[in-house]
Amino acid sequence: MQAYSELMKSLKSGKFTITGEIDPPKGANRESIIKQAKELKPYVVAANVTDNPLGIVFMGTLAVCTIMQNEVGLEAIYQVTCRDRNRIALQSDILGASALGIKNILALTGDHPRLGDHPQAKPVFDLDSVQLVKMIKRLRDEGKDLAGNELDVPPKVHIGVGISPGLEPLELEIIKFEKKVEAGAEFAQTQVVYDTKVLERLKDAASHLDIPILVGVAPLKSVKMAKFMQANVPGISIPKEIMERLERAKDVKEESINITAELIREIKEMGFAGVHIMPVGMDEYVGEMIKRAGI
Amino acid sequence: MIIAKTKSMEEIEDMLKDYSRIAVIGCGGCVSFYRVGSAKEVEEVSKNLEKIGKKVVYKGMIARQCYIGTEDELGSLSDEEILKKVSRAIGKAEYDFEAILSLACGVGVQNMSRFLSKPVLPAQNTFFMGIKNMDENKYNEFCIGCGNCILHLTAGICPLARCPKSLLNGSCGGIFKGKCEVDRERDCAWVLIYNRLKAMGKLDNIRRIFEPKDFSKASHTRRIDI
Repeated sequence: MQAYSELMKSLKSGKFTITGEIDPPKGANRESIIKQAKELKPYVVAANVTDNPLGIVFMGTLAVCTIMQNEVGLEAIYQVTCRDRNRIALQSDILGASALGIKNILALTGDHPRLGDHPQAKPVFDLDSVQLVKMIKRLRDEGKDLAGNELDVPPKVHIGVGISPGLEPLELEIIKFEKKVEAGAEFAQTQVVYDTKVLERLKDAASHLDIPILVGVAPLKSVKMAKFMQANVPGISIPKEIMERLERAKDVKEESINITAELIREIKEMGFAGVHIMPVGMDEYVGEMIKRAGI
Repeated sequence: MIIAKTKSMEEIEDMLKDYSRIAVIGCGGCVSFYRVGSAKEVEEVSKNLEKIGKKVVYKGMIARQCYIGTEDELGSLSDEEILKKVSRAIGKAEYDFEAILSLACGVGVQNMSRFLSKPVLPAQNTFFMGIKNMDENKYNEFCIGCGNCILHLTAGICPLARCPKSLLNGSCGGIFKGKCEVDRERDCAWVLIYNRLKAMGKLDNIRRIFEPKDFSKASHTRRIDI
């Protein structure tokens, strides 16, 4: 299939591909988007824009994607979740996104609103991520909406999905991943990984699937953050050596850049298609992480 | 079972503020089984009402308030005649009540309201179809009444009712040590489904893509042909 986006062109070329992530502002702040996008642009082929993570209100994803593409020229990966929109709103937004020039979508289930600061909100989840992928593919390839009605111009978007290789039971996660690929996923981005053992088992379990995987990495900004993630975030395991390195480090930030760079290098050596860097506020060090990884 | 929990006395007192002579009627169905609407609770609630100055003139039990008879059988009867026909009085029965406090679920209250001319008021908050898990002393929702059952494929465990996101194609990324991201004391429904299907050698059941649910069968207000 034709590659519409720079991301897809890069993945198809076989080049080690790097994506980043933009955190939408808590408010109507255009400048923060432009600043983050400018910081990331030299190092990444495209950047994800999150969709109100944990159900906490931020600026709308579609607006942020449009601003970063139009003002900075950084290609967007539009994260779409099933939490807040039913099948009607999702399709409508996807058509609009394509018309606005968005070429990549990451189709996700979304966090439950109970986890965020609006726990009283009515969760939607009319579709799940597999159904969302299939619906986007239908819009694009068949030029039809979910009701079977014709579109005048189909959206031209590539479809990405998430996978969390550290989850147990892994087989359950792989069954879902297989379904996402069958439904039309063209690239995958993983939950953050710190443990190369997790990557080895992902490689084994997904070797039969023909889909480029961008492995998620994020710097551990402090020992406290590392401990919190280890204890609370699903699918994350932080090896003892990394924890000890952070605890011993005189300059934790410096050490976390080194750890991230080493992970990126290992991910490349293992033959993954690329990395997805979530800077978690350390946007200005992304270049350094990539440089130290030798890429 | 339909799961219900009795409202606070303050709330009950408030809804009865315009009435002083009350009938209290329990239900022998689901609420009786889980001990919120049986004869024992009729006595308890009545005692509490007496304490706040109400006169409970009628106490009784109805086998199932969600079915007390047909329009033909009850349509032309007075409240007193209906209660004499369908309710078993507990102790001395008088029929000059101003309101009925029903200990049934929301369906029972509404069904009673179809036939009785006096107001029928709910003593319960009605939640869902589910079971009481005696081990953890919790009520769990087991069925959302979606009108399109897939339990034969999901090892008798409903992902619509038991996954907070009602996911049909497998778990989300929020599994934490086998538990749900929304409530870490609750098993992830998809892990339960996976484990049971694996043990049965039926994992192929969930390898198929489940298409978007037809929620026209699951949204309010529903009527179906019999």
